[in-house]
Amino acid sequence: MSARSLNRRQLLSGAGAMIVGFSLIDPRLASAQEPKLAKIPTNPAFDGPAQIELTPDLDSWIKIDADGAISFLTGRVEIGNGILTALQQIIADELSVSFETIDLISGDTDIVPNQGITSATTTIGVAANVIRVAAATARNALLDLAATELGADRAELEIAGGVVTVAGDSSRSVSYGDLVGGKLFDLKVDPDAELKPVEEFTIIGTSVPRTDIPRKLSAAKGDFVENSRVDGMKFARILRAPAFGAKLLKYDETVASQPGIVAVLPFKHPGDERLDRVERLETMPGDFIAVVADREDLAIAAVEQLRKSAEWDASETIPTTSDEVYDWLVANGTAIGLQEDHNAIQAEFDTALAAADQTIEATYSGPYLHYGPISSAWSLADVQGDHATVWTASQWPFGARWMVAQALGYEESEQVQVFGGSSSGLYGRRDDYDQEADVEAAILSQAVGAPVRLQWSRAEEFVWAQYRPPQVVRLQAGLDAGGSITGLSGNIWTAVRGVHPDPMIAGMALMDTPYTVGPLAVEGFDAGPVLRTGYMRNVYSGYNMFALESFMDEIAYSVKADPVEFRMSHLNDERAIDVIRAATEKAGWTAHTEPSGAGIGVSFVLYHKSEGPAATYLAYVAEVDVDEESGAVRVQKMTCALDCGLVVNPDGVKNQVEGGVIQATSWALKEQVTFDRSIVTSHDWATYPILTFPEVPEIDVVIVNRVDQPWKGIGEPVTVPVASAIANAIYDATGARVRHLPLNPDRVKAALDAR
Amino acid sequence: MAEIVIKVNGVSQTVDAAPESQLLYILRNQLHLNGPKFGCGLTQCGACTVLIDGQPVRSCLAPVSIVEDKDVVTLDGLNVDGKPGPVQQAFIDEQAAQCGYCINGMVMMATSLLAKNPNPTDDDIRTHLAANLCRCGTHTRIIKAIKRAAAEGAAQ
Repeated sequence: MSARSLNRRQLLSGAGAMIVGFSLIDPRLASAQEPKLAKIPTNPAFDGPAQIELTPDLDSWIKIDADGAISFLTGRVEIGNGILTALQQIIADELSVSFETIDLISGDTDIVPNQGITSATTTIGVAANVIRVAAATARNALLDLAATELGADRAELEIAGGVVTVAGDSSRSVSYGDLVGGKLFDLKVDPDAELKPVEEFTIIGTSVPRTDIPRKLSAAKGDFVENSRVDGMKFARILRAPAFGAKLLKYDETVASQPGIVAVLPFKHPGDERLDRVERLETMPGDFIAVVADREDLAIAAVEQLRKSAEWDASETIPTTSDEVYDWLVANGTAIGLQEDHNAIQAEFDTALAAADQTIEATYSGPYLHYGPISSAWSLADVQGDHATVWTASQWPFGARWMVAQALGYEESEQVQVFGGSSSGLYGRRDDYDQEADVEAAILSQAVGAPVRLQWSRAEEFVWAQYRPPQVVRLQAGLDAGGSITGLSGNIWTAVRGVHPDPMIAGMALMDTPYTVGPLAVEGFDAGPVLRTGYMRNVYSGYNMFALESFMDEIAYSVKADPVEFRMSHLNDERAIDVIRAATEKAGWTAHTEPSGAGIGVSFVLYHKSEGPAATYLAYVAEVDVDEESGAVRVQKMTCALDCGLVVNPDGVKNQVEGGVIQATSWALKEQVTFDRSIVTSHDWATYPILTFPEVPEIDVVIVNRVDQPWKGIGEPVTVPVASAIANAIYDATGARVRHLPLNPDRVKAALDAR
Repeated sequence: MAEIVIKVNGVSQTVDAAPESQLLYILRNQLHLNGPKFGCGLTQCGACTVLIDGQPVRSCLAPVSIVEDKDVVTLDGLNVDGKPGPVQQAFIDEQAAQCGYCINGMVMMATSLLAKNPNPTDDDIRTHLAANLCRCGTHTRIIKAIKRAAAEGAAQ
């Protein structure tokens, strides 16, 4: 029995507990045996069995009160897609209780199980299955207890509303509360627990309203973790360097003695020991000055004063600019090795190409993108000697805990308690090791001896955050006399800072395509690091698929095939074919073998191989208007069909599709990070505009609900088909092919002029 | 420190501020209001929107001196007996939120729109909200929620 599970049990017990006789293992003893901070915390996001191994005790997942109220703990956090509501539906159905009976607790590292980072579209596809198994273990245990209590066989028992009854004899019944209320199960989670059959679900599959929306609309306590407050908290703002890598030479030290200023603290970065000792701290190099004040407006004013007077040693440390980066990627990339047997496959492809009736080649590209969360990064830290508490928007509270513990010089992560919670949408901004705001806030709190709420400015959020890596994708295909693909080759150039995001998945979406294309040779090249990079919603897949789905259209038209027919003729997968049919029928697609002028374009994506947690099938049809004078594109409508297996919450799925379409339309039409040789130059919403109300398309969603298939996640997949559907629609409208994102007026006009 | 009296959600409060102190931080940090949010601090996104004498104002750069003798209303103040008011309830009924962080601005703008145009068209709404940013892409539902609030308001 570990110290951690004891802490959870004690915290779970609340009033009326019956935990007696356990002695607390001295945590200092445990740390002497193993240097805890040396080990990166496990991230079991993709690994359900590992989640159970990390938290094997059922009592660490669920508690039932004497009155039948059920608390369930999850390691995932709510970042705006309604995931906690879906998990609550699964728990309630598996336990045969009403939805409202469940209190789902998340975000507190002292008590929740580590289910890995809330990212990579793994909550429904992985974490939910673990939760279901834990709930099923509890239900089966309750049935066993009830059988004994009622003197009946399990087979005779029915459950409804948390009450177990002998079938046909309602006088013989017992409630969950009476069976275990306030007591521990003292059981292990059974990975093979008998699950409730899908046919018996009554809550899963319905559009239960989201549990978090009402409090967000009424500004209620606990609405957003951003609204966390601690008595006596101070306010911190930062002056960052004017260039990446710049060193602070001097600043006006009299600012520190102004009224209301608690401290003015310069940081060398790299060079400050507290930052240097944090493994995986991802912020770009650049000294900075932190101001801590009694009032936030005074901190802001002090930063502006310091900005005027500070002197820096700044130089150009970025090897290229946003205009030139694509050529630079191709010139400087070194092979990643995406396919183990690449040489053999490449040889097969070369043979196919040599024998082909026709060959076709095209090169596509996509830029660095800002995550652009509406909330700029922030953190609240309260350091009290050898214990700290942090409130954060992190997608991985356990990762934040580890990094903060290092920054504070602690021996154990457990000296830090992190509260994650419902936050502003993040899209990956606070993934794995992107917890620099927590690290900075904790250091400041430790330095001034008071709780500190650090707020990054909007400019910092744009310039000092990480970005989606850019890509150049060159595709080449061989075609037979009938116009079918006999071989496909993809070369992908990108620039990754370190392994963040993992360059080994740079071609995963392309490699996973279900199209029958003969030998599929894929290689990636990494020219990094240029700017800070990270896991941004769909990571590399969006650009992989922008290239592939544009290319499918280009091939189709070149062999005088209708783009929909052409795709169908390269698919054996019934689910793929069905989803394409659903979208194109809803959109009123009529077959055409050359641009129709209507401005309609299709795209199909299977997000990842069918065994993965996010293996969702999507087909989108975009309808656009193109102003041929200016090159401006207006997406009028997007018709979307998706198959994500068994749907847990239909309205939740629809909400995510709408959101993913709008966000990805914004990326496709408007967005690119701009930078010069010194620093990122897109620094606010004016220099980095996103889609606004007048520009939003009409969105039609068709859900193909497969109750016989496992439920899969959709958070990232819903963004992927958008860019290519729009580019294909632009071609259909005008005969102009745009291969380089964003599809802004300049690029579209250039393509129009080149016709 | 300097003291100023301001009226927020119907209650006069004494706060610690200079005349040029930005209203947003006073509302959030001293009055502990959850409604108005920090998004950009540049008046570019609208997450900080409040109503001052019924007019929408971006509080992140509004000096507190401008609210002297005026009524400030925040999202918190739209609640009726601790429960969501009609515009807020319309948003809840339409499930018009993904992360919900921008929604303060949307509701405050909707409230001011409906006060002067009780029956707005979709285009009226889009124009009125053109400078309010939503990154999650909830625009479609926000428009529906405002139409619903208008219809339910008209029905009363």
